[in-house]
Amino acid sequence: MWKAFGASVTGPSHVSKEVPNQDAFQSYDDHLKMIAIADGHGDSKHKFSDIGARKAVEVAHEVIEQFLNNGIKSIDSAQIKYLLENDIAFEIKKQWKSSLFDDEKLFGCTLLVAFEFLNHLYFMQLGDGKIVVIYENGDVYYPIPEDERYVNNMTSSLSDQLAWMEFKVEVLPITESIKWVGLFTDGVENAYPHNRFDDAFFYLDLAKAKVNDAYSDYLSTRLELASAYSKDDTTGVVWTREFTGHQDDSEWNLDDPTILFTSNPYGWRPLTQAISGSKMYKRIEYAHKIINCFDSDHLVHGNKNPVSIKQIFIDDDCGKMECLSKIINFKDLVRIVATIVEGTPLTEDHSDYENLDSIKSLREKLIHTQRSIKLCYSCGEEYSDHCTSCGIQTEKAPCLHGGNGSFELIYDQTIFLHHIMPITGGYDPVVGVVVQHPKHPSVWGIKNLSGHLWYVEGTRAVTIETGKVMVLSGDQIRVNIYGLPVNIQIK
Amino acid sequence: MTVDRLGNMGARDLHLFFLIDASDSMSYGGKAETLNNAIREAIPHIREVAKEAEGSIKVHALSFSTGARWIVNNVDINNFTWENVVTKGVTDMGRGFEMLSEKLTSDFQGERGYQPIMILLSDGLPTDKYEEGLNQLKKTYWGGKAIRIAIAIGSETDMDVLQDFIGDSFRGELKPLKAKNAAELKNYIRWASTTVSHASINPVRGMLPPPPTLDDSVDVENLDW
Repeated sequence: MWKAFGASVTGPSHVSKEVPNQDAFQSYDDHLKMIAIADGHGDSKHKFSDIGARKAVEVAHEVIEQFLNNGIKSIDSAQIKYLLENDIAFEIKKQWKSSLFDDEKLFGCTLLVAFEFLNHLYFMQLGDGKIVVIYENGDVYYPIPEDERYVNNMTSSLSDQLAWMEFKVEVLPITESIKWVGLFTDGVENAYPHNRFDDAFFYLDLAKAKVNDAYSDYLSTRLELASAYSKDDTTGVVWTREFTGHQDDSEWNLDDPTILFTSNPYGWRPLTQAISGSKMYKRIEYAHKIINCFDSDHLVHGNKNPVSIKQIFIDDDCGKMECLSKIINFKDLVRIVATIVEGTPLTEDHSDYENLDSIKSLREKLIHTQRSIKLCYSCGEEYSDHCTSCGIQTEKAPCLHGGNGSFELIYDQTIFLHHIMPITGGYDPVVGVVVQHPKHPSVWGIKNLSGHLWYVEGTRAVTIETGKVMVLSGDQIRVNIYGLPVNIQIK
Repeated sequence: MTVDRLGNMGARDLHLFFLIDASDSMSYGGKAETLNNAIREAIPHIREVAKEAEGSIKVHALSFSTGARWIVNNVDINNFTWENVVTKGVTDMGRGFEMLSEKLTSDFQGERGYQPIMILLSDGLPTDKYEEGLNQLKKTYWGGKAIRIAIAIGSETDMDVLQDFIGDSFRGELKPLKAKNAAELKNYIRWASTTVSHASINPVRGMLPPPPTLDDSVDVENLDW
């Protein structure tokens, strides 16, 4: 039904520096009908990104084809979406990384995919670029929400450690009214600086062009025009067909097109964006907060579809978390916590969490994991015994001793009630946060977020109100929080 | 020019904003002359950096003294020449921030571009309620996303105000730059307008936290948090 066409233009800045085109694209018409593009990052830190981009497109096709061949015909599109967001995203990252001959950072790229399966269109996007669907009536639809973080020339990359979390997925039933599907690298949208919606004109122009052998050349000239402004490699791959006869472009409103786009729930941020770049100790904090939001009062039984981590959003203003599906049972909660902490969605990597049967045991598992983490301040790696990355023995950080044992503090970590006393289930609120003085970063303090007064004992006895900082000075501090004695060993 | 219905194409520009204290005190000690020369001398270097951008670097400047006014409006760096700032009046810094937020809201609606760079240059204390104007600025889309730098000229400047302007740019790791003499002022203006422009065009992620060791010279008890 649809014909695939693709073209890529090398950016003028690359041509002048004799750097090869860092974009890759491919269309597949065999067992799996798919189009894909990848945009290599291109600068000196990513010198093999043209290879990375080619590999990304190939691996995506192989992995998705593998999954779909393994008898998925019996499951519905929602379950396929779950697999794409989790297991398939993870596998693409894993196989891409293992196909490379050097440090993955040198191969960094984005990846955009569209494929057809059982009368549905599936879209996956990691990083910047645009996926566009145009209907016979001239409506333009962007199925993947725009990511605010990509506005300043930044993008997520397949070379990020937890890149699988950054894949965004959408599914659309195929109807007769879909005329054109296109994947483009950001060389197009960057040629439209005056208004974020202006690039729709570019796509509409391509959508109404005649479908014949000259289409690829036409696409190429359009991409060249965009590239002249954006100075970047500019690539597009499209599926297009002729009008069915019910409508044609004479009715299209080319002065003021209708643009439909998805966006995240207003004011909420996807959880995956908060944790994909975070170290494990930070991810454990998010896991505790999730358990707080979905405690036993809200857990229901019997959920047909597993809840994907990509359906969870955070309200940054108050730290509240919400799940789009509104139905989440204990098994889902354990699986999501394990995914966040271990950084993988695969159940075989969650074996340590299998036998946890209560909120209390889940929290204890997190506390146990957290106790074993130390942070190396020389190279930023987390380690258990000594830093394997740089071998430098850094000074011991301040250590908190309370009713639930000892914890070595990290420069920006959140302090929960469980740091001070054992929790038996129920609520585990945030009590404080470790902070560095804004002008003297080697001076640490703990900010009181508990809503109650803290009483610091000793010769310099003082009360700390909520919102104020208890400075970590001297050799040790004894403080009373919620009536519980806490000892902080600084030196 | 084009009959093609391809919409309004263009190349992304980097917008550089100078916010300049033009109060009476700037006329003493050669501060205004040094400032004028420093900006003039930075121009060829900014032009070099502009070659890396997709579009160009566009310069804007406002001065604040009694009230505030725009003195340079969206001029391409390749056509840019600096006219000496005239110093007279008090220090209505808040009004300067307000005018900047108004411009960002009206002229930059819906744009795509590099992170704008805002350089505040001052030698003293604001004479108006600067916090309102500053909050208004930070709430605008581009104001919030901008890289904000502050350069203190001389030793009378209120560093807290400058730090407040910087806010969470550079994730709280940048302090106001103190220019104690002409050479330092020139260097800082050059750094802010060239190195930082380069960083906006080629952004990099991630920085490491400093270690937990205590610095003996710091009077920990009397720190203001």
